[in-house]
Amino acid sequence: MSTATADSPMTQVRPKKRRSSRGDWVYRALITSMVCVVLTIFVGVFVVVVTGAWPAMRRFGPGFIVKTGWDPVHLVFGALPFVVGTIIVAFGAMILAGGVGLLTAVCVTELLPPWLQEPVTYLIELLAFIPSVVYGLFGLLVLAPMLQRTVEVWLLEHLGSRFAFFNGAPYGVGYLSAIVILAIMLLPLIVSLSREALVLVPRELKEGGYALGADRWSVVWGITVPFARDGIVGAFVLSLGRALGETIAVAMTIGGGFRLPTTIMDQGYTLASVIANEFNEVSSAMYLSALIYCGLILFVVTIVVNIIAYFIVRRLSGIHGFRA
Amino acid sequence: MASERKSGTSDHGPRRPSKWPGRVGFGLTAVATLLSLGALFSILGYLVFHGIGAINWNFLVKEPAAVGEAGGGIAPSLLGTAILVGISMIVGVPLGVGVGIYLSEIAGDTPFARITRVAINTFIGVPSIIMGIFVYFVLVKPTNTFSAVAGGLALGLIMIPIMARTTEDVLRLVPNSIREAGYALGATQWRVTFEIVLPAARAGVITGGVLAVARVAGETAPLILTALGNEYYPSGLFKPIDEITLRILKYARGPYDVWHQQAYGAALILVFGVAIGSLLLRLTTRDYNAPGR
Repeated sequence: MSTATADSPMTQVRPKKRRSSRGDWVYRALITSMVCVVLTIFVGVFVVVVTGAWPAMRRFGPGFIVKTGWDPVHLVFGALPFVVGTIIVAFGAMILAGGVGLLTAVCVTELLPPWLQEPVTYLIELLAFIPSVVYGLFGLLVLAPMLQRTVEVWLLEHLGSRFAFFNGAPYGVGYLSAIVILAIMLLPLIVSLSREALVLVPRELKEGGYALGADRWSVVWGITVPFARDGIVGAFVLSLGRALGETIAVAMTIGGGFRLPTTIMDQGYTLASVIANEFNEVSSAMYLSALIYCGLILFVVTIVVNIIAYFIVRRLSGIHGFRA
Repeated sequence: MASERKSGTSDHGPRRPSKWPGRVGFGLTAVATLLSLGALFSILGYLVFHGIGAINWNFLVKEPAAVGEAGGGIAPSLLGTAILVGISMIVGVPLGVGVGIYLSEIAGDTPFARITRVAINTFIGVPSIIMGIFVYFVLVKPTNTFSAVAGGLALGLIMIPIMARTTEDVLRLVPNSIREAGYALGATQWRVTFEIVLPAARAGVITGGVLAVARVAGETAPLILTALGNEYYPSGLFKPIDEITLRILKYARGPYDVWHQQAYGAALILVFGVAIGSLLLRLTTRDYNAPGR
């Protein structure tokens, strides 16, 4: 086996010179044309979404993103409430899931005995197999009523008078429920990717830390986590992409509303969930186009986030074989 | 950390820190792990607790009952799910596997290959509802009807990049020495791909396929824009069609306790199906994977 190429992801052996074969020509043409079809579809998706959003783009211009108002009768639309809603929900969920997920990954790799690591990781990764509509069901029928009775009441009583952000009516469904349910959905991704990054930290580095007299905790936070930082950042960016685009679970738990949120218990929409919930209510071509415009904003943002994630992760895969 | 520093330093490097930050810290990580596992078990627990009562023979073979009434089943949704997944596989598997073969066996490091790789990895992360919008405009609007074909197409498009990447990954696991052996025997490239590399990676490709199917079987958002859902058995490929996640969505949002219970029941069946599928696969493919790696 040629040692140089065997593990390098970019180069598989390909015969440089050989008899010309008609079979090979057909094979390459067929596979390459499939790739072209797929790439054409991808470009087509973008073109179609832009075309669908075009009437609204012409009418409202880029100001659509920073305007409020959602009036299907007078055809005045502005996406700011959904943009703000998307930011609140995605980042709220990222903070929750990032904290809990990273700590869980540290616990699994550094604290648990080896025989427990695999089963616990497997169980947490099972969360990724639960379809998002099931999260929505759980969020709507179990989590939201529970938050309404406990956390939201507590927030209102203890923090509501000091921070307007918590001074809302505890409805149950609303931003807070969407944040919590989305955080649970992001957990398996963050835990498994962070864990991969943590596992790849060379043993010698940690041993060096112990040799200098550091205890386990200092080694974890002073050596292991900083060394795995790039992988963890990659995991977070990938999860952010997921968080921005999650549709149905958020649509079921966020309540629905077209005004700018003032508290975390308000009801509203994200860019993705407004499309899912309002699509069947569409009453005019301009309304539809405004919804597609929301989709276009979401599309562009997730593409940017995913390209960033791809390059972070790819840089790592060159070094360690890290694979997200 | 701060507390270590203020309580005196020695000349021999950092003072040995107290055990308390570590105990508290690891305690926190343990709490986080329990929270993560708790989330899993409470979701599964609620599904089983509320859903098991809804599942019986009639639930699997009957049509939905009249609005708000007890009884009835989700048979049309189950059938519709099978049809949609079938159509999605016709679209997604060949194209996905083809792109995977391209990336692993043909592409190398040309600019075109790099673009393809970025495009695939980017589209894995594109929200599925965007594919729904695309299919709505290219198929639903021109044909003037929501349809099974539109739903299946949307799911198939979601499947393509997932399938492509898993296929590329497993084909890369096939050692180059095997390819070289094929070439040394005078085999052409297509024979090496189809008679050596793909068979060696078969189990992995199938695993990727099942994972992709599991993923699209749980998709709801694109189906709202394409398949729509209804109360009846599928009546044609160009007619609206029901699907299990659409049924769960409808029942979860309805005002009736009977609906809620049936939503739990349907969700339990969906999760159970996905879990059994992936577990069976894990067990059956474990042996095959070993020599390929």
